[in-house]
Amino acid sequence: MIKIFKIKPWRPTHINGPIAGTPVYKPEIIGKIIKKAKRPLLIVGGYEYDVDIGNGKTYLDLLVELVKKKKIPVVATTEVAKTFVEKDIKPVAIMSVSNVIHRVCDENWKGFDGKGHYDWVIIAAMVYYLQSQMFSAMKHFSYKWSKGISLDRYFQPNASFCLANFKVEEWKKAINDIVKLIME
Amino acid sequence: MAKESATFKFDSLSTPNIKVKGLQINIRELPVEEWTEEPQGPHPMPELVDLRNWFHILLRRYPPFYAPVCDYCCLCTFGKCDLSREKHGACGLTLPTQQARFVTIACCIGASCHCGHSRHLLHHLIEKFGRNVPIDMGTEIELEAPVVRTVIGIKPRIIKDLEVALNQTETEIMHTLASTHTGQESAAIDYEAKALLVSVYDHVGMEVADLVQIVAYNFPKGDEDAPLVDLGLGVIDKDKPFLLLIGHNVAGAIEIVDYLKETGKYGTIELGGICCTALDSTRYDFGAKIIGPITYQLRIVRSGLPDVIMVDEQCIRTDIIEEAKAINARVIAWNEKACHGLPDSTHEDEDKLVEELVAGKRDAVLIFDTEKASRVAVKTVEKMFPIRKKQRNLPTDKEMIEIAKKCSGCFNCQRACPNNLYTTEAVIAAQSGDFTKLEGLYESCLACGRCEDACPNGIPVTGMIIQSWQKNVRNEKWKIRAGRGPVKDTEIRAVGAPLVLGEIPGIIALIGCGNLPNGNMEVARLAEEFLKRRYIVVATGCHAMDLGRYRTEDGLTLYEKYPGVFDAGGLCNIGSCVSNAHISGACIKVASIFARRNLRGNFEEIADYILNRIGAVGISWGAMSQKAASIATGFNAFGVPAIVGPHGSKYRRQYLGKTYNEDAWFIHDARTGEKFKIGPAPENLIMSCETIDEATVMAAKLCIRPADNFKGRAVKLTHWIDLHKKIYGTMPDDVWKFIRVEADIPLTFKSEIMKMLKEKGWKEKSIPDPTNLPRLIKKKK
Repeated sequence: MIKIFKIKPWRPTHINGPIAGTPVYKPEIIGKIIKKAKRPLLIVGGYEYDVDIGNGKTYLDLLVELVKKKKIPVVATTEVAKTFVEKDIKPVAIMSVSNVIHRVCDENWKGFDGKGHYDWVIIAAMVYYLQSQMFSAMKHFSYKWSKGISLDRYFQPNASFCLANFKVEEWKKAINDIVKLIME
Repeated sequence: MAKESATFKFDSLSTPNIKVKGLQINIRELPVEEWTEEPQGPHPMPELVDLRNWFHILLRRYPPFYAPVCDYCCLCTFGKCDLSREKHGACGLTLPTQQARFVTIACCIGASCHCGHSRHLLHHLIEKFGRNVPIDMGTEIELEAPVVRTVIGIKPRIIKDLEVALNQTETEIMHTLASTHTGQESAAIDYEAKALLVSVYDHVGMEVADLVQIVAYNFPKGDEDAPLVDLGLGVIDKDKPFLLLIGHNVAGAIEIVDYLKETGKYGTIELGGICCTALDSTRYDFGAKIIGPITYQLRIVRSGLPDVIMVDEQCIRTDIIEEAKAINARVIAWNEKACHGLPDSTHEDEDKLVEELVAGKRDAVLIFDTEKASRVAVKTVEKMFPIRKKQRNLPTDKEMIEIAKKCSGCFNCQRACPNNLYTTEAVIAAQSGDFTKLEGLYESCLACGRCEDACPNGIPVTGMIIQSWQKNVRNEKWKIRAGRGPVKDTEIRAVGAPLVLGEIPGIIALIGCGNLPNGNMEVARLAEEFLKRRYIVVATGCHAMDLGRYRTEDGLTLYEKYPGVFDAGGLCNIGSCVSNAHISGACIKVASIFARRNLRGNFEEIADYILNRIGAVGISWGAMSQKAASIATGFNAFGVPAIVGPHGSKYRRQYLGKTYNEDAWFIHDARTGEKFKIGPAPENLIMSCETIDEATVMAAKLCIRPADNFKGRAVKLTHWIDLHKKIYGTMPDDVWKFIRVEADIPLTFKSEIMKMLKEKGWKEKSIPDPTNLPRLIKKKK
């Protein structure tokens, strides 16, 4: 399906091809998808996770809260693992994002718990171009069983859903709203 | 002297079947046959598919993970073809195969770049010194060309002997490139096998290049005490004419040094460089200076300091003439691979060329004669210096405020920035005279200039970042050890056993390139971490410079603090890009000197040995170029895993082990033929890591090898677990996979690991003599 976008990817050169996901202007869309997901997997990376998102919380604090409350399986790809461990959360894996997505793209993989694939793979706090590459792999090689969502503020054309290049303050509100909706 | 060619003439020849008169047979090349100590192995001068078996073994264990940058193929006029998902191109090609094809093309570019460089040097040096320059690497290096011996199957005595190696390299690059034409390979795995092969030849090309320059120019021959030389933007004496060198081929720089010495002018001109030409010029002239890696081109040029810029090949900014013009400097080009659209001035009158350059009638000249180009460069810089109006291409602080006011806050600069730096915020802050935000970006800035082109209002963002740092430039004075060249046989004798047995936990090889996600400090800190842990740390190219631009807590650079010896806790600057072959060469030397494996034409066995026994890991944190692609892929072919930084994910392909598929992790016991399940060691062959902390933990893990003895395994596990706990705050949950016998367990973590082993129902296994090649089994079961 060819889509013509009104907005450019955050990095304008990151237009891989004719298939692209949807940049959303209403954060609740992302919140609802994650809330309805049967087997979500959250991947938390090592980029700008310590940004203050209001109420004295960092982005990582919010993600930790989400994981703790909703028991969403989380993979920590970098040093953020330490924060999860300190908060008594055991990530399902501490693993390079490439190793995780390599598994996600393997049709025969049974998931970290042996129960099968994850329907939605959510990436947060990861440098833009690396996310782009990971979503590109998923777009082509896992789209039948796993789709990708980005929680960061940038339009990622390779993800199935993401925010539409939100300004920092808009994003802070959006990410709080998304997490609140999921936790309701 | 070996025979290089032969002619047989028969006036008449009569056999039972044929009768011939006047027959002449010409054989163009005969292999050098003076190497009698070793029998010829199974694969001398391997052709396109000769090593396919070995590569398929690797690829079965480390299947490629593809992350396309582009979903199209636009290489032929059937296209553009959309290859997304399961679509086929007009030629039938699929997306995975296209990714593998693209990687193969990148590796061909990288290999041909080193090979072309090597060919130029060899030709130039034969012309200059004759074909009989002996390959004499000194009393401590007998194994002079480990890669050439292993891959080509010859033992070169003189530099002319190396032509055979380059001939074969060129042939295989040609065949590999031919395979990427429309309608050739259909399976990604076969392109990957070709990428691996051509990258093996990349290491041949690199070894030849460095060998010939070492022996002909008398560079250090594995000298652990090679002198410390100056590094940094602040090392240039502004009271002297400054000739800046950019590129990778040192031939021109050496002509300059020789000319200065011959004419008694040595010391009157500042000679400083960017990239490997700079590194290699300090291996010849310890008074030459290194400005920095590729990312320092705009920094130094826009400072207005260079009077003349001499460029050769590779990684030169292609807008260099434009940039030079903006500071009223001149450019001299001499290399056939980078002509910059200039007319050929090789045969023009030398003095007239100098006159026209000085008068500004020409901005740049192209001279395909290194001696002449060097003379022109020196004469021009001497004449330009006293009359040249030092013209910076940087705004003043006052101008910056006015320029910044043009910013509309569109974020185009940030969106164009490879590292997503907060440039817009910094420019807006500058509107009120606050330059601290710009200054704060300096060390993470790649100085690529993309932000400037993206700005609709023409704001020179890179220039503003550079200007904001100017007050710090005078402090940018560092020390780097001049490239020592290869690892000595005597060093290998000392470290061979502890390395193979695992008691020296590993070799951390920092292998060049400047596309760093967060500046050079990260690389230097990683090196320091492993030096403190008494790993052997080696560095080449841009990363060798990155390590120099850092001071430890006691105010010393790493090169001042750590010895240059190839031993535990040693830090070796091996040299330039082409010196990377000495790292694969060191691994080969361990197989030969310590384990007495035959090298001659014996690639598979040696690579199998390295993969199973030598805990070496390459880290190219700023991997950017096609050369980096072929260097890393070549290391992989030799059995050395590599880590690239997050930008490295844009190479499209990683070789990642599936640790959850236990069937992929087995070896044969060479003593009994028994098939053994092993822990996933090494876990990946080439991978992109997101942060330097992640890379640090992974590097320690990738040093684990199936053949570690229990003491060595315990040492390696100690470092990995310790780093894992320090960085991730927890014990790795897969550590049990690496415990074969109880003695493998590090004492410090024994109770935790024993508990884990109990939970997993672990049973003790024996430690095999591992091989992936059934033909190496001594007694088949």
